[in-house]
Amino acid sequence: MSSYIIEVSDECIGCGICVDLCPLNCLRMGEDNKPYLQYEECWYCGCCEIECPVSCLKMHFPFLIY
Amino acid sequence: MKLQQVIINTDVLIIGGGCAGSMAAICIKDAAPNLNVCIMEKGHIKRSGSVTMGMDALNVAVIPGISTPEEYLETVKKKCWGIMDYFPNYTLAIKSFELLKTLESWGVFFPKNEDGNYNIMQVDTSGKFCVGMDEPDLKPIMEKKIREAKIDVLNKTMGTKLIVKNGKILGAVGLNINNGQVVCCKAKCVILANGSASRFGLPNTGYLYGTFDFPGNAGDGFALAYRAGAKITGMEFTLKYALVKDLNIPLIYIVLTRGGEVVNGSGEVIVDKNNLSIFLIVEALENRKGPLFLKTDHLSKEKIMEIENILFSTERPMQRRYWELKDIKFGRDLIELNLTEAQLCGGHGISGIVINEQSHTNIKGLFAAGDVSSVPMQHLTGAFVYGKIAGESAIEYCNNGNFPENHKDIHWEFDAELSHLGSLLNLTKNNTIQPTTFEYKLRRIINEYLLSPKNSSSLKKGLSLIYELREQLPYQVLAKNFHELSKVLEIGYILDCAQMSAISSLTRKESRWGCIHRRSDYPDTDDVNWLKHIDLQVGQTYPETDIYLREIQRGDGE
Ligand SMILES: Cc1cc2nc3c(=O)[nH]c(=O)nc-3n(C[C@H](O)[C@H](O)[C@H](O)COP(=O)(O)OP(=O)(O)OC[C@H]3O[C@@H](n4cnc5c(N)ncnc54)[C@H](O)[C@@H]3O)c2cc1C
Repeated sequence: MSSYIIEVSDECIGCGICVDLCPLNCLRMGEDNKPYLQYEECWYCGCCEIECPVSCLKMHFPFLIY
Repeated sequence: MKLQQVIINTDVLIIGGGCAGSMAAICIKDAAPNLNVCIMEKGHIKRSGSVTMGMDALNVAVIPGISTPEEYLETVKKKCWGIMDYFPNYTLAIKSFELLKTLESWGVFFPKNEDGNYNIMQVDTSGKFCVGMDEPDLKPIMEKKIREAKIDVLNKTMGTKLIVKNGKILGAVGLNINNGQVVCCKAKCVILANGSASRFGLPNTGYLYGTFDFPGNAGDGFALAYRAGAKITGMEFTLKYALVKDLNIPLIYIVLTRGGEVVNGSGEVIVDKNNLSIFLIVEALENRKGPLFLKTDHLSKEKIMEIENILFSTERPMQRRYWELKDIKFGRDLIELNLTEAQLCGGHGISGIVINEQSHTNIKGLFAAGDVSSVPMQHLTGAFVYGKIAGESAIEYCNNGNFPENHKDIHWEFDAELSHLGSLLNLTKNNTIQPTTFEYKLRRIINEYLLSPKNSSSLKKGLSLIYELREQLPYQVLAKNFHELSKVLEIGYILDCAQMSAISSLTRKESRWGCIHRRSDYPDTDDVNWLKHIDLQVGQTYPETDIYLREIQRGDGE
């Protein structure tokens, strides 16, 4: 899927806060216990990045809109 | 994959935990702690809704000594070209300052200048009603209050049906979009606060979720209310804004009130702070006078820093990265503006559930607040003011009504909704179309047939395509899991909104609001016949529609 929108570093503690808070419910936890973008329904609000307690997640804008 | 069932009871059910719904819940618990309150929210109340990442202004604030309710009413009336009721807007105006003070007491930050005055901006050609607010944590502040008040919250749960019998609300059904639990919530009354129809027209990028307004609101509230028999108004007001091209985020007010300008390709100034009118920008773009740009290279370093501080800290902080990607710098480069997709909204526009100044709908025990309801251009202030009013009306209703046990009706309706949801999830069918593909086609049809310039043949053609898609939906679209099931339901809401919009646009045989409703077959504005609301209500059998023309409510002495 579109992993380019969400980049997660090794510091991720797998807490799942980003998955829970995503206003559009488009993130999921992978088998590696890290979040990924399951549905390409992102509004680019950046809440996942801002709410991450260990600042391990980065949101990227996709080619389509820049 | 099976739908699980659960039945719960509450006094007040609130559908939608954005600003309006959260405010309603907090106010009810504060004034009537004995009442049980439950919020059903499709996302998670901490960050869901239009205000996801904070907000930088309260667009309606009538501050004593600065402006008056009468001035505000004049301004809105002008912006709506007369299609608005007096009392709901008057109530908004007189309660707006008290609301600002309440938010301030909760810790919401309203910056003040050296003289201790609020940062009041003139964003309309008349009147100063916009107050700067610098609050990235608006939703988290409310979420904390909700947690402290021990209000029940069902996150990831979307309201799918209102249960109404003999014109009176009995509760609602909700679907947990992650685990497939279907909740039958029996309630004495229900407050609908689930936002606008944001996923309506298709944005220029073709990206379904790249909308200006929060895309989690697919017109759910309009459709639920319509199906239950509530009156819906102003659906011909197919509103487009002018925002940053492709990214579709607002910054015009912030930049123009600090001295920026909107210029065309030859550098001519179209709008600046002395004639700050979004209407002029939209009209210029619609009439192919673009491209238009935001110009800031004449501003001082301090002003640029001020602009960047607001843009990169409050509403959409992520945009800093966007500008870096595009190598665009404020103070150096032009920023291209473009029209947004069309939306239907009671906060930015005039479309929504008909309510009075007490948030009552025409259904007993059903109240509505915020973008889902029509209090023209009420914005965030309206969501808060009417959230509180809806809460007060709910308390009064709970205290004074009688609520006989009505098990049979509720269970019958619940079972019907369960089998409806189950049928859409049925994987044994031969459906092959992805929900996103179906939605793309529907919204492309909205763009092609339902927007200005409108005319009778294109609207009729659009309507017939919408009816066709309606027939096809259950036989074509495949929902492989509960999340996708929620998308199929949302397509149903967009279909309802599209149908209502086409019918309203066909009914209004005149042109009004510039390119929002421009009929090439009726090019003139006709106040003699059309200074009226167009209300819609479900007919004998859904999705049939009855149309009502309603007189404009005037104020005392008007
Ligand atoms: C980008 C942007 C900038 C804005 N800037 C300003 C500004 O500067 N000043 C200003 O005054 N106003 C502004 N507004 C307008 C203001 O934000 C809205 O008018 C206000 O937030 C609406 O509140 P609401 O509670 O009605 O809707 P929302 O806050 O959108 O909340 C609706 C909630 O309902 C939920 N929901 C939807 N469907 C369902 C369902 N079926 N079941 C359960 N839950 C559901 C959604 O997840 C959402 O949380 C802006 C709006 C946007 C989009």
